[in-house]
Amino acid sequence: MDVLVEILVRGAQTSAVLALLALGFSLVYGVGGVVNLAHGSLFMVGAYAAVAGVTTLGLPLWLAYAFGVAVAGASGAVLYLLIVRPVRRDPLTVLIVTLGAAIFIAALVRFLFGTANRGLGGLVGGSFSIFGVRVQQTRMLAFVVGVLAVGLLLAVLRKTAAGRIVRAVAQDPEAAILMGIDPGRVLLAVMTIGGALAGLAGVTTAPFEAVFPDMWLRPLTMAFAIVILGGLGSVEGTVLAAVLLGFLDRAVAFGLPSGERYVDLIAVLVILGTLVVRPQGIVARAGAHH
Amino acid sequence: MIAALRPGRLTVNGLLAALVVLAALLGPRFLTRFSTIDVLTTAGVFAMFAASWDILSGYTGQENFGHAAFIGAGGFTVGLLTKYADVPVEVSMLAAAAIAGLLGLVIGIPALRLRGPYLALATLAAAAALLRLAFIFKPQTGGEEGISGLAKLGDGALLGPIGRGAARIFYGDVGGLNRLNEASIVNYYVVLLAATSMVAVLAAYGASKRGLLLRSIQQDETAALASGVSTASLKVAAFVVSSTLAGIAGSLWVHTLTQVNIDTLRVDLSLLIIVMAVIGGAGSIVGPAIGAVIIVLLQDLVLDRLGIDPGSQVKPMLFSALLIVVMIVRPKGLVVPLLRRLSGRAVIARARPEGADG
Repeated sequence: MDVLVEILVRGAQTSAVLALLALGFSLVYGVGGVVNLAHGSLFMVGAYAAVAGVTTLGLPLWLAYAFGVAVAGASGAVLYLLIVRPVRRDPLTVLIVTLGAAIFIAALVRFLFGTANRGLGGLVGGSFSIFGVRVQQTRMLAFVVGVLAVGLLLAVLRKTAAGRIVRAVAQDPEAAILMGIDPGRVLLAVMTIGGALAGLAGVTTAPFEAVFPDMWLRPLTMAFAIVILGGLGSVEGTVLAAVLLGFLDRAVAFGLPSGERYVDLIAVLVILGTLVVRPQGIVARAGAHH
Repeated sequence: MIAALRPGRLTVNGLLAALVVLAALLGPRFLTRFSTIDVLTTAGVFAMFAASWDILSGYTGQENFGHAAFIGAGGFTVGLLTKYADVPVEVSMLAAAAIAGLLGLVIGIPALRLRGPYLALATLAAAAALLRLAFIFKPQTGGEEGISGLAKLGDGALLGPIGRGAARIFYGDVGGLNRLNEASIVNYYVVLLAATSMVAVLAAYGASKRGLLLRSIQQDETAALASGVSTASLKVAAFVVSSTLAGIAGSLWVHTLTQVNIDTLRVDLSLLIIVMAVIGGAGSIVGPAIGAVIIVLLQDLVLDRLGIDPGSQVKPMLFSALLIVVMIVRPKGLVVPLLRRLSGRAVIARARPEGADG
């Protein structure tokens, strides 16, 4: 019983973070047909920038968090302008250059911060109990921030003019061009927002997860697993798949003996399983890009 | 294609290849430092990595972002067999080839249905999972430290005499050297033999009708299917050939290093192989092999002599930046176009079907 509650409570928090992480990845694919293998690196950039904000710049903690999100968003924009834009036409070249960028960022982080684990203080402290399960306040904050940010993004995409433009480009880039929309600028905006969301996931999880130079790979493989399960480019599918994977992740971690060791295998099994059984994802896409 | 088969061009190709092999055979005679021999051996190993990547990814355009999975699978097969069963080098090599080939089959069959970015994501994820498994089974694999104490290839009952014989002919008397240096020299000749045969076999495979059919997948898979080409079985076959050879190369690598650790499974290695193939010119077998040799020599002989600490992060930063610049500036690679210009398109005339590129 305790285990079940633990899985539900912790799964909800993991789901919120994963949704935040995967939405940017999915939107960038939907809008530009770009698979950004440096997306997990933006999660890492957010966490490390916040650490640097505290230790090097001496910022107050809340400002360091904001700094982390801003740096991750700016990194998304720089990635687009410097690396993705020149090779956008060729999806495979995009994969190679963005993976190159991921390795570059990991090396840069090792160079600047060393290989040892770093920590980031939480904006909130202590813990409380839900149905007999202790939950740290920092995890609660990550959950609340994740849900709010995902909700806000979905609302913007559905209700605002800017959101309509993004959806229009995702559905039919040629028609969008005819309507006077510049898909390149939309992609720049989406990569910036996606980077900021990944950075937000990075800073909110940093207080209870390790900050280290290899931390980019797991968010990246989880983000693929989610968008493949949800259907590449589908926003609703991405959120649904993030929730499924979040609970599955914690179910494996708490349900199996020393299950935490196996959570990294979930992503690959989900990816291969989905590709074999249902390559189009659980939510069939309207207006496929490719 | 027809132009490539003219005898004149084949002679030029053959002559150049013979010169390269001769230089590789005689090169060690002129080395002044023994540490350099292991760098040359590593270059040969990476030439095999890049060439085996190329037969799948360069030819069909189905880019494999997890080649390290097969290399590491081969390497750890050798490590585990040596640790638990103490089998001869030749047996563990065959087992490495079989395990890596099997893994290629397991990943290759679902990959049949995939095109474009999906295959890249699946292979990258598979390599990440294998890396994770190496940590999960840390008591067996040794985790970060890995398994050490593997023998150099000269210890093999079959490979030892071959390597020693080649060393005696091309290097000279190895009897006067100390044991470590002798082992490195013999090891070099075994790897050179393997690399030369592997590149030759792959180049022949690539130039054969099957190679042409593989290219048809890259050009237009739907058209190939419509013309009655069984693209599915071709792709799986290429996957298995590529992974089996990567497993063999991986086993040669860990014997050369005398240890296997998780670096053999890292994303960095997979990317480095793509860099080598792309810089060399993907889809030509010889190009990626040359690209691999150039990059290994560049990083070990040039960077290390400039006094850049091998453990520092300067190297990966420099190489990933170089890769990005090359991909943006020259997506067709650097080596193949250069060779083409030098020899009036003779050397790599087979690299791409005529009229396939600009």
